[in-house]
Amino acid sequence: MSTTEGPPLIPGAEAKKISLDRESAGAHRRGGWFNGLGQRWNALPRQKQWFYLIIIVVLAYLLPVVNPPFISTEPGNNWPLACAQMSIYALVAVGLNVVVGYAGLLDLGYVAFFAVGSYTAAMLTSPDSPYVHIPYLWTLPVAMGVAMFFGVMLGIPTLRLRGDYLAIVTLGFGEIVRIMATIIPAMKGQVGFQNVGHPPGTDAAGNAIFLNSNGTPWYWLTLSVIIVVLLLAGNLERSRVGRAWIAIREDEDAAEIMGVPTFKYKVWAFVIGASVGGLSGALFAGQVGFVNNQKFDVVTSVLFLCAVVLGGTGNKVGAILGGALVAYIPLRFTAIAEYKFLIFGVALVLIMIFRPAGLLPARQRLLAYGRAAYNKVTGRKGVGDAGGSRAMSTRVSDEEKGAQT
Amino acid sequence: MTLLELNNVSVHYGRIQAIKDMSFTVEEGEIVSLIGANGAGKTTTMKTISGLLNPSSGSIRFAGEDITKMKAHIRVVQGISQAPEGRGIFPGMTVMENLDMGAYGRKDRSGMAADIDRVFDLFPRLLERQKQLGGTMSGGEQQMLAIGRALMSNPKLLLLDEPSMGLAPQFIRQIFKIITEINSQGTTVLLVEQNANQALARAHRAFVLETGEITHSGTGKELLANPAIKEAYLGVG
Amino acid sequence: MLPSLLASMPMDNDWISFDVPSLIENFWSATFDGLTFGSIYALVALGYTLVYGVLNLINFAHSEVFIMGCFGVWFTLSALNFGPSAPHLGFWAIVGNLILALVVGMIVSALTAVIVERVAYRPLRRRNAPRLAFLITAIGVSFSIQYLLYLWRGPSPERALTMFHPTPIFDVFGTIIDSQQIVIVVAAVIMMIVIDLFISRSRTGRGIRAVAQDPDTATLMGVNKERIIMTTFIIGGILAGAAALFYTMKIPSGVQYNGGFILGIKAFAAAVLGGIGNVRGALVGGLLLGLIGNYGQILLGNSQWTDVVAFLVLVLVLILRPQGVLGSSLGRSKA
Repeated sequence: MSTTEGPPLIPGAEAKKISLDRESAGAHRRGGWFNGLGQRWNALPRQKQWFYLIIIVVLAYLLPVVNPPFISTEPGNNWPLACAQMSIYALVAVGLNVVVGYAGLLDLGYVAFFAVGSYTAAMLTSPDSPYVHIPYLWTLPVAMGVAMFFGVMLGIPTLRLRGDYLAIVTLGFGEIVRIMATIIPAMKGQVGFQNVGHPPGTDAAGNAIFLNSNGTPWYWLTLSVIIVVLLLAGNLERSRVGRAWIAIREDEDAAEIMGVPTFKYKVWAFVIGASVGGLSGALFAGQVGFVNNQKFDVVTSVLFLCAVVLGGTGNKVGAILGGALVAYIPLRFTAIAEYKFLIFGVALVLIMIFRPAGLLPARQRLLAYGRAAYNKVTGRKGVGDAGGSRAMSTRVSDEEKGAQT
Repeated sequence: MTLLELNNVSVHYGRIQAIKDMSFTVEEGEIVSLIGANGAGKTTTMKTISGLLNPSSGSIRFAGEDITKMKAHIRVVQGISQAPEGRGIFPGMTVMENLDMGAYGRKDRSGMAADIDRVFDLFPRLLERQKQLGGTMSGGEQQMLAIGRALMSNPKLLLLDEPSMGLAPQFIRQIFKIITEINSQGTTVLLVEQNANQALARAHRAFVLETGEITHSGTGKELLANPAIKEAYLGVG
Repeated sequence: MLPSLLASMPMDNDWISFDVPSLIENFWSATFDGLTFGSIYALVALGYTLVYGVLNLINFAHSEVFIMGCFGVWFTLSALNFGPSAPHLGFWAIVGNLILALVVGMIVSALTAVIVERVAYRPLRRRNAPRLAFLITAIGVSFSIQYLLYLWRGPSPERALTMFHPTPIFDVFGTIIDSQQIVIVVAAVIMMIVIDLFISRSRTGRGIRAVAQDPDTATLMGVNKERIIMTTFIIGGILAGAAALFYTMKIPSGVQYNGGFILGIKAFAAAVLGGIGNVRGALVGGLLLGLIGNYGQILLGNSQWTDVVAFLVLVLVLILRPQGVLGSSLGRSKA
């Protein structure tokens, strides 16, 4: 189906790529501060990068303890709890960014994987559940596994087809999970599961450290998870897999023609994204301590998507900031909390129209990767009447002439 | 009288310049050929004349009117018609429906009927196949349909983008004969070709395009006799 | 771990059943009702199919185009003093009022569709944006409309409206077919036939098919692509407005800010089932999905299964026959 989009396959793609370049250049011109920061960052020597990185990480860990004025969500909302929520959203955004940002697949039912993770954690730890109980920390890998399973089940039928199908099927799946949670008695509908487990450990006074009412340890746990996921995602991004994703995102047909097994890599992206979604769901279930069918509205998926788009699709630092921001804004500005879906819905449209690279445009290095991967993929094809590589096309035409004479 | 005039036209794809300051004219009643290798900017030139692409600088005049900013679908009504590269047959429409598409912008029923007759005169094969789906025809038949369809708007200027592409030699000769015939009936023709031999032999005037610039110009015969062109485009060493 | 997990599973089976006797008993009423729902799906599905054909894009905001029509219908009928019980009006007065509501619904939906096109799609087309951008703005617009409605009308459904009391017309195999079912199915099928003729016979219809098959060449033939796109959105909107009237007729309390969401997914599933891009496919897919959903609901024993069944149908079609029952069309190449 995807080959029916029009005959000038490569020239069109070329134009698209160029417009992308132009966008990034435009974003660069307008984006000033953030982007300048990114460039200056890349210009720093390795040791200095590490030095600043450590400072940033330490500051990040101190965030719930410091409770900075102006920034703080208090008195309206407890600051450490807000931090915990922001960190969970940030983790979600990092996971969704693998799907949307790296591989260019629109997953509109990401909340479903989040829900799958939450239910897995709840049903394996809550006293309300009749099933086997395991220690909370073990539910994290199990939740990832279960979410991955659902990712495979959804991904295999849809990822062979064009991206639109994936979008609508995931949108539907998000709703189905909610309905199933209502219909299937084992999932306890609105009653849900109370007292979801938490990691072990008590403080000096003998009280549990991980309380639902204390956001700080949960924030630290999630932040640590984010750092691990970031390191893994960073490695993936720079690997063969990452290059294949970027090629798929830039031009799937061209990637396919050049022998990139697009289907396989799309399933990988989708499933990896699903597993991070499941992981964040399990963390969420533990932090909140209560899971029922009311918590996983499909609209939340759009908030997640907005987090990725705000930060700039394909940019993991941006995703973290975007995720944190999406959680933060309604908590900090409680007066507009009611309007958050409208605000983020409008934001999606405005960003896509006026600032498609996001508030924090994808780092130049990533773009350079994209361009290199892209050229690798399309270069050898060398069609395009007036498109890119001139030398290439003259050579092709010489060959053709040779064939004619 | 000058029918088409390009003045210093440049076209960009993003940052890449595909056509550089191109200027040429087509006089009424001529056959003009543009020849060049793949990637020389031939199709880009055609698309710019028909309005699918916008020049980044320069101007285009048609029949005395500046059409640089005119939308593509209005240019058709003004008298520019194109048989696009790769023929562009609507695969899910019959031959008759494809021909009707060519007359999409027209309201004069009697004129349309006359043009249908003219097309069937030129291409009797299309008359036989009028109920067949466009997508099921052979390459040569599709090319006939593409040219016939372009004639259905009763154009002043007919743009033909590589009409010989992918055709068997006897078909190529036939297509070029028909092009000459169309021209002799009063339609000006601008032709883009890689098959330089035929394109130069049939043309009143011709231009050679290399990487977005015109490098040679002259009558068809002059260019056919030019040793540099012989070597580069006619496969004669 | 799995065996012990299964062993500890509570064995209450009332949430799912395979109640074949009940299906046999209710077969004909489920069929007629399924066809009624299916006609509504088909009308909405056509909007997805047409836009997909021309722009190669799923218009996610089409569900909001539909629900806006529902609000248009509801406000019109409320203003005409329709309420929870059927009004005491003569036959022709009711017909007149319903036609008025239909026209308002169509106008509201068509306007919404045009606004969506202008705001969400056209600016991106100008810029030659990547596909993903279109999908994201589409979902953004969809949610913006949904939450504008939410902020304006609140979370609960609008007061139910009864347009007329269904009266029995035929008796088929001991099952009554009522006037409501006939009105909906007949009107929907007539509209679909009109649209099909319009697309295959009229000049604009030819333009729509040409743009669907090859937009650039269509432009070279003198087709104004932008106008064709706009026309396509308007046609989709008009049909969604008609669907809005029938939906409100069938489900009097269905007018709600997020009421379009599930119906949109079902209609899309119907479009895919019939073959997306194919006008007749939308009708066939809609009717089939209506039937499958209704049978599934009775067989499995809970009305919420309709949605799940529709979703499973969508996924199964995508696995087994992604081109749909009738194949995708508007003349797009069959590759």
